[in-house]
Amino acid sequence: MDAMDRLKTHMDGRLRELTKKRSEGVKVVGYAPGGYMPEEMVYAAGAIPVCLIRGGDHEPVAESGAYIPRFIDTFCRSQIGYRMLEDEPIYQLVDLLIVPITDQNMRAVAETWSFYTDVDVFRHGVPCNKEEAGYQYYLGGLLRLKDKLESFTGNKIEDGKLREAIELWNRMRSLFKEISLLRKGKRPPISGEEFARLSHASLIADPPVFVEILESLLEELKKKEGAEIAGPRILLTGSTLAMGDYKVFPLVQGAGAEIVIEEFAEGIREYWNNVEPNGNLIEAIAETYFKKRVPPAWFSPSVDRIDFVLDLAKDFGVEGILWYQLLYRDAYDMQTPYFEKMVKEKADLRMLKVESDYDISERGPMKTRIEAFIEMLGTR
Amino acid sequence: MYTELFRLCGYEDAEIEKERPRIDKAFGMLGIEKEDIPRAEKRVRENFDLNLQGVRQLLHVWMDELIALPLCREEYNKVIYSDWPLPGPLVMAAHRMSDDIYIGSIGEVLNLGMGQIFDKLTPLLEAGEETGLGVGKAHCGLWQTHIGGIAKGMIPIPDLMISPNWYCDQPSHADQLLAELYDIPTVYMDGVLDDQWGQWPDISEHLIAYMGDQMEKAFKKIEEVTGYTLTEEARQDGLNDTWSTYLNFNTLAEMVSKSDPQAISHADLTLAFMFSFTPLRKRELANEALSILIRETKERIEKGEGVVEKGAPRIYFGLRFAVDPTIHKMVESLGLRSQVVFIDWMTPVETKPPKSTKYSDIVMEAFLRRGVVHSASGGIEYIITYCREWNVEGAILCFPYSCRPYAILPLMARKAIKEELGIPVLVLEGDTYDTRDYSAGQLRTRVETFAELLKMRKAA
Ligand code: SF4
Repeated sequence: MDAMDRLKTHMDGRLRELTKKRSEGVKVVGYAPGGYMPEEMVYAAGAIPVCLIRGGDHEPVAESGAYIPRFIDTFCRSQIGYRMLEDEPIYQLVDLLIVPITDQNMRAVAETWSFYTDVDVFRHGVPCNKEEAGYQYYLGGLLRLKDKLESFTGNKIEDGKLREAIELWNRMRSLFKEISLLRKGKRPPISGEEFARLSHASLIADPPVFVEILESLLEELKKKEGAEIAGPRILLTGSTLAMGDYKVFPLVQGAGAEIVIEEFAEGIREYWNNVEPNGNLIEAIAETYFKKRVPPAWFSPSVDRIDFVLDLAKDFGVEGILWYQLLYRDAYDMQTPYFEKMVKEKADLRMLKVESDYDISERGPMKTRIEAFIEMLGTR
Repeated sequence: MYTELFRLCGYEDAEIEKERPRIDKAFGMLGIEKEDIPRAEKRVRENFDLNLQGVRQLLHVWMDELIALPLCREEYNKVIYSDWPLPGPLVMAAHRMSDDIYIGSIGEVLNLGMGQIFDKLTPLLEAGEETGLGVGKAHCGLWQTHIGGIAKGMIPIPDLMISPNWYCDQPSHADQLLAELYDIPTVYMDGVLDDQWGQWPDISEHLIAYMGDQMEKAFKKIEEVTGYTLTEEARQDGLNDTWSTYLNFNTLAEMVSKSDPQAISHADLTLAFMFSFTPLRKRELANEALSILIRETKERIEKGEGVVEKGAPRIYFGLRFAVDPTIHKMVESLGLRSQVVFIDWMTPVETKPPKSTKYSDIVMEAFLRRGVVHSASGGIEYIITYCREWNVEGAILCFPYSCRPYAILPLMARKAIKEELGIPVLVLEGDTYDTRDYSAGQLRTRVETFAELLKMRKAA
């Protein structure tokens, strides 16, 4: 069986496995995506980290209207919708929800879960700048998170266990990085959509099993040669790319282009930097998760993000940027005017912004716009 | 062309003559034209109680601010912009550093002047939309106006922007956009609302300390850009300015809350509400206006006069409309007495001495003690305290379309109030900073039905 088949088998049985573990007394700790909640800490506390990353469906968005106003970001609204609809089983398994407070949209998730469900919700803040005070605040939040996890699970987060977890996640990140870099070539052995699905699976799968599968996958991909990309190479960026929200990939491919690299605040695992497994481990985690992490658009200032995207574009031979944002994610919407200007001025790159509220009616207009954009890139 | 309008706003003829060159220039920059004047006169006459000298003087203060804003570059050496939700004492203290510095909450000034008085905010909102706070994306009207004023060239480019993103996200994104487009130095005052559910009023010390630290950062940047030192005296004056105005407003609001019939309209009170967050060039005039209004309100109460009939149903009304006086007037015209509005009254939690000892920490603690600012659970408890303490018979939880931090609350609060207090609750979507989509006329039908329901309950 090849690695992707093994992953499918693992993911198919994951819900059953989580349910069984939970019935045996293991805590399932849900967390909001965004790369600020160190899964290593949950794992070292003997609990199972599971990311709330489902999206792309309209029903949860509609359902959320009974609980929060409609002008909260689509993905964040979905997170209350999935729980209240009760038809996404993983959302019902969560014993504790950890929400790194990054912006008001994410705060809405924490507040609604606290009010409308009986799940214990823990918040820890993510300051919106990388100054020393901001770093110290984030670090303080991780220390409070450690206390919370210890009291919630009844297990101490020992240094030895935390180091093991860090090493496991470092391996995962390194493998992702290697796989991602394979896409620099003319014939990427893995498509943009496959990479996104892999990233999403990593947020739910059993980490040791997943790392083993990833090892095999890397070996397979190294030997594989994908089809040559005939059309423009695209960088996909935006606020959230949720599990299940894959609509842009076929639209881009159908127009003759391919997504070769992506940069998202939420939904794509952060894999560029590893945690130093020495010294004070919580500080080491904070260093990587906060200081080294590319700032999302809700940081102020967040222009570093633009430089990072430009570097990616250069490294991956990108010819156009597709900006995929969700409705009402205000920070992203407000960054586009100068982002677009800067990528044009600094790298002569063109950008197309598309937006989604997880509504089927968007597909037609989005297809037309993507086709026109790819065609324009092809004529440059 | 505008003499009568200025008279209505409490100006003496000699003062109008003296100010005429400044007024002409400022109006030119703001795009206020001849045809705007009759509309403003009509709006002021219809919506504000000009029989009250205090109300005229409140309008005078805002008119002064509106004129000073476009002229700030030529009249002051350094220009600093900020806006709500900036902590009042920060801007007030900076304002007290030197007469050479213009510091203003520009969106609020434009809202009060161009909105409340001239009803001419749309061009500013549209300019904000065109600059990057796009239409239909739930961007804050206050910040669309803020950006729009600069983008339209109505007001000058400042030397510094103080961006208050400790409570909501819009200011820092809007300021970052401005900073990139116009190359304006900016200091971002960060904040993280991450206290746990049910924690309010026990506010985390680390949260207060972080926000206090951010305020100190802003002070340092102001010193750096202006070259002036922020003395202890200026800090204290800033605090006193905020506090004295707030207490005056509070006294007035409480008198109105207790009066039956309701002595004056909340449209008039809104003019005073913004004083404690906004640096004013003539603060003495503002405090004097409040004192006059307190006296006049007392007289009305003694005479048993009011703007809503005696015995009308008492409600909590969850918003102050910053740009449009007609909404409060509409609620009153339907026979509802807004006994307590928005965050006008101080809950017992807020009157206790602060646990912080540092200046900036004390200021930030005071903000976080307002439950609606701290968290949804704090907000629910806060609103329930309001409703319970004032024994209201219903609540209108009006929330602004586009204001994410505040709008998280109302649907939860509705459920909690109904369960805990068993009174009817109406949730209304509106927009305190942009009434293009939420006019008094449009909201009237729902408020009317709600008013009928409360009257029927009262009669039963
Ligand atoms: S109205 Fe809301 S979004 Fe706008 S500045 Fe105030 S708190 Fe922020």
